[in-house]
Order: sequence, then structure tokens, then C-alpha cells
Amino acid sequence: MSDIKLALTYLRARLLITLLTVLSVVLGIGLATIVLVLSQQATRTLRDETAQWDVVIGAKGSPLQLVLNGLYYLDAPTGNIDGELWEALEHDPAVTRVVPLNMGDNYMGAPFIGTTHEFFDDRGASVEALVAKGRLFAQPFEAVVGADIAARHGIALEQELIGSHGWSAGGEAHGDLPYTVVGILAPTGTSLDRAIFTDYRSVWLVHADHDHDHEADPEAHAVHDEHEEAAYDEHAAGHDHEEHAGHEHEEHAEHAHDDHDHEAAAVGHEEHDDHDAHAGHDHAQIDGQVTTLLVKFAQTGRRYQFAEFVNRQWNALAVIPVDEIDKVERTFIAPLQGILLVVAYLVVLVSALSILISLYLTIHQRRRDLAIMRSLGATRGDVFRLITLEAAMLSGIGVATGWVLGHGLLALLSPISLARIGVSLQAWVIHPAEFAIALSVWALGILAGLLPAIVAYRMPVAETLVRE
Amino acid sequence: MIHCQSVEKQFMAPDRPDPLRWAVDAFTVERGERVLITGHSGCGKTTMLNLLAGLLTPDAGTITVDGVRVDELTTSDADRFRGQHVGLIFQSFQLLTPLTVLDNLLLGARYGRKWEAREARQRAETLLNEVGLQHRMQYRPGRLSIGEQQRVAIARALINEPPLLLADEPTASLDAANAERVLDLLFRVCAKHGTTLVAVSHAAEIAARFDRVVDASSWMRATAQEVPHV
Repeated sequence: MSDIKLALTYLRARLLITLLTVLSVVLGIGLATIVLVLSQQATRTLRDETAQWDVVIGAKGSPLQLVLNGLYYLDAPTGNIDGELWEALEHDPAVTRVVPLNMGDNYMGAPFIGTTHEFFDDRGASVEALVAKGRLFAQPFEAVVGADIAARHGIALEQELIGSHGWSAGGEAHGDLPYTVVGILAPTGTSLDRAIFTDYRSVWLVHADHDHDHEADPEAHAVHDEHEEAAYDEHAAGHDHEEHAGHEHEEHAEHAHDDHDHEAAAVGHEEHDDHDAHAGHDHAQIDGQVTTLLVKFAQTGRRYQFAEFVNRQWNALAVIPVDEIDKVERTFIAPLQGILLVVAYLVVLVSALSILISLYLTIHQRRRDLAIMRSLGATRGDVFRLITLEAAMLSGIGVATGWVLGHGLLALLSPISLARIGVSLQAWVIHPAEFAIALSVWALGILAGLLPAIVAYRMPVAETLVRE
Repeated sequence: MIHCQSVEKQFMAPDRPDPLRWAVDAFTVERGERVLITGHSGCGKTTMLNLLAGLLTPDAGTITVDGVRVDELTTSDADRFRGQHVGLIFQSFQLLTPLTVLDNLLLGARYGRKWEAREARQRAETLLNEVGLQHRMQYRPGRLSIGEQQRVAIARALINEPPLLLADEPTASLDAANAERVLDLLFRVCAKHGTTLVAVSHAAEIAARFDRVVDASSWMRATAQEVPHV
């Protein structure tokens, strides 16, 4: 009969105490595991997304709101900005990539994001791999649905989606301008899973139609439609902004494209100092405005200079997303993680104490059994080892179960986390600190078993046999 | 097999300010002999068994069992000696209740450190068969009758083939019929394995079955004015 079998037999013999003791270890380890993995992966996911873009530009307002909206679709847009800025950046050689995000409608709470194909570049695998079914949109009112939204609402290819006005469900429906689903994205574990992507012009067209409905002005509607068609053709033909700019607001286009250098552009803007006029332009309100611009530079060092320039010269707000997420981490995530870890360590400490108490009490209940073992030839070392082994098994079982339950719970929480905060949890990815915590708790459990083991070690056999 | 010379042990009694003195001038048992120690309660019969088993250390004198000076052994050596050379049987059987009958025997084998796992199991099964409990191997002691429990205790005491069997009131908890059966068994297995038996009992009716009876009361009268309370 091995020590392990003997220890297990005695742990089983006091099953309720064993289960309660193990449970306390499970809670401590489970909580610590969840806190570590959750904070690590939330941070990682947030950072992954910020790594995609150097600068986010939107309407003036809260920088954090702009980042949460522009990168994670977690908050309402701060407003719209002049599309001229987009045109200017398209011709800036320092800009590697600039994509517009047009927002304003939703499908059952999932935002429609009007953008360009460039938005999907550099997202790990190829664009083909990113689209699980169908293809990317090729024209307005074609939609590509994020994996989580498609799964949640059972959306299939060729299905028509009717958007509602506003950021959350319940707004006025645009029943006359449905979107056709042409593609469904593969799960990415990012905010892409929680949105519906369409051509950037879709949002303009919907809201142009919407505005004109309200105005009840068929002529004006036609003018806008004509203009929207022109805008569509120009962009489809390779973003001929000079030509496009000459269509209605030549003056602005000229100063935007005079020089591709931002500083030079800044000077030009300072000279004209007429961006408010841009912002209030009728044309810009319909097809000239964008909600957000995401910008990537060849050299990320330029981002601060650029953000400062935009904030000074344009009626827009440019923020460095990584800085905003850093602030969130420093202000909210790190302190919360610290508090939760302290709670977890306290639970672990309590569990170690419960191991000590349960073993100490059972030693007194088991005095007779331990004395019998000694009468059979067990040495004091044998008895000491048996009690220590029981403590090691109690904490070991608790640590293993807590670890599995912690990660299992994370797996269950993953879909909820994705839906609520846009973070897909990789539940079975191990945080390096988990090993240290697991080993510490296990060692602490063994340590807690030492006092009862010493009591057992020093127990007088003959006297105990007579008394018990 | 056993040779005790001028053995003394002092005990503190809860109702006395001075320690009690227990002393034996000489006590000898030959190999294979079956000896019964009798005497009134509290005369120190169990003390003698505990000293022979190395569970107690004498304050003075020498105790030699199977050629080993038990009084000179360290605690750990005494434990190992007991596991290999001495089988103990108690009045209250002292079976480990969370373990099955078989595991009680296997635990004894483990601490005897004489057998490999397979040998120990074979030997345990043989012994349980010998005491008529092969069909109760997987039972826990709580499900056995009193007589069956004592038979398990005897089998466990013999698992390591000890040359010496010490039995403390082996029939005190049994009715007459069971006591008779247990004694029959005890003598039979001791004869079969050549085991020396030293039993303690205040039951005079079983004395006739032993080779020799030692009266602990008179034995101690010569060495101490006061009778220790153990």
C-alpha cells in the first residue's frame, strides 16, 4: 500500500472537509488565473488593435471615445469630419495607409462601418483568408458581416439587412435601402467580429436619401444622387481627387493638394484659415464627411507631429491610440488587476490556513490511527511524510482544479467578452505568472501541513494507544 | 527469545504528587513458548508488552528480544524493529477503519518492509484465508462482527512473519464462544509459524492453554512497594 493511496484514503474518509478545503484553494487559484489571463489578454487585444494604426482622426470630443469608437466600436462616434482631410492624406507620401470609417447606422445593435478594402490589409493572414464565406463588398450596399454578428443573428450570404439609424438598435429603419450580404468574415477575436462592413459610400447614400426624404425635395435629391454617383465613380477610378475636388469645392481641394508635405499643407491651411467653412459645407455634410480616419505612417515617429498639426489646423481631433490605451491601462486595468490579485492572494492565504486547520483538527481525530500505524512499524518520519503528503495533495488537487476551472470559465466567458468589450479570450493560453502562483500556492499548502505533521511526529505512541 | 534484567520505569500518576515505580528483576521467555501474564488491573501488564515492543523505553535495565537490545534502540530503529520482529494484537483490535480488511494487512506489510507489493498481497490473502475471512477482504472493519475484527487483527499481526507475537487482552472484548475460537486460531497460527506468544490477560480461565503463566502482581511485589498505574 503506497503513501499516495493511504493519503487518498484518509482524504476520502473525511470527504466534506476535504472538499471544502480544496474548494477554498480552487477559488483562490481560479480567481488568480482569471485575473491574470483576463488582464493580459484584454491588454493584448487592445494593443493589437492600436498597433494597426498610428493616428485616429475624428470629430472634436473625447480622445478616448474617439479611440473606443474608431478602433473597437464600443462607443458612439464623436461626430463627423470634413472629407477633405481624407483627400489630403491620400496624397501624403508619409502616409502608408489611410482609411475612412463612416458610421451612423446599425443592424440590431451591430454597427455598419463604411470603409475601403484597405481597411482589411495587414491583418495577419491575407484578405482571402479573412473572408470565410463570399467576398468583400464591391459597391455600395454590399455588406460583409463580422463572424460574431453573423453567428449571433444567423446571417447568411445573399441575405438582406435593413439598417436602423443611430448607434444602437431601435432607430428609424432604412427599409428602402437594404444591404445585401456578400461576405462573412472569419473569426478574428477582434472588434472586426462585431461589426458589419460596407463600402464607405453606402452611409453617404443612405443618409442623403434620408435627408432628402425629410426635405421632400425631389430635385435636390436628384442633385445629390448625381453628385454621389460622381463621387463613387471618381473613387472607383483611382481616387482622382483633383477632379473630384474641382466638382464643387475646388478651392479646398487646391489647398489640400498644393503640397504633399503636412507642414506645407499646414501653412496653406493657416493662410486660408477657412476650415470652419469646410465643416459647414452642405456637400461635406452628405458625401464629403467621414466619421473617422485611421492613419498609418511609414515612420511612426511622425505621428505626434502630425496629430499636433491636425489638431491645430483642422476642425478635427487626431489622437495617438496607443497613448489612449496606455492611459486606460494605467488608470483602470492595472489598478483593478492589482486589487483583484490581492483578493486572490488573500483567498489563497485563507485556503492555506484552512488546510492547516483541517489537517490540525484531523490529526487530533486521527491520533488513534497514527498510533496504530506506529505500532505496526511506521516511523515518525513515515507519519510526518503521510501528513505532509495529504497537505500536498489537498493543495495540489485544489491548484489543478482551480487552474482548469479558471481557464474553463474563461472559455465560457469568451463569447460574452467578445460581445461586450470586443476582447476574444484565448482561454487556454497560459500567463507566465500562473506557474509561479500555482507553485507558490502548492508550496504554501505543504507548508500549512507542516505543523500538523510535526504534531503527528511528536505523538507518544504507547500513551495514545492506551488512551484512545 | 526474551530476556529482561532489572528493568525499571517511572510513571507520573494524575492523583499522586510522586512518580510511581514499576520494576521487574527478571523476565525470560524461550523461543516458541506461549506465556500468559496475569494480574489485576493497573499492575503494569501492558507496560511489559510496550517495553518489549519498543513502544516505551525503560529508565533502567536491559531488554533483549530476538537478540536485539530493544532498550538501546533509537525511536526510528525501534519502529523498524517492531515492524519486522513483533506482531501486536490489542484488546480493542485497533484496526484502521477507513481501510479495507485487505489494506489493513497490506499497511502492516508496508511498515514491516519485508515484502514486495505482490508478495505482500499474496501473503495477506493467504493469512485471511487462514483466519477464514477471505470473503471479507474488501470489507471495512465497521462491517465485520467483533470476532471477525479480532481475526483480522491476528492476521495483520502475522503479516510480517514476526518471531514474537504480543497480545494485549486478546479475548477481553469477545464472548466466550468467540474468545475460544480466537484462542484456537492464535495457538494454531503460532504453532504453524513457530511464533513466540506473550499474552496479557486477567481472565484466569484461559491460563490452562498457555505453556506458562506469570503473575505480574507477585512479580512486582518483590520489586516495588507501590503498584504503578499505567
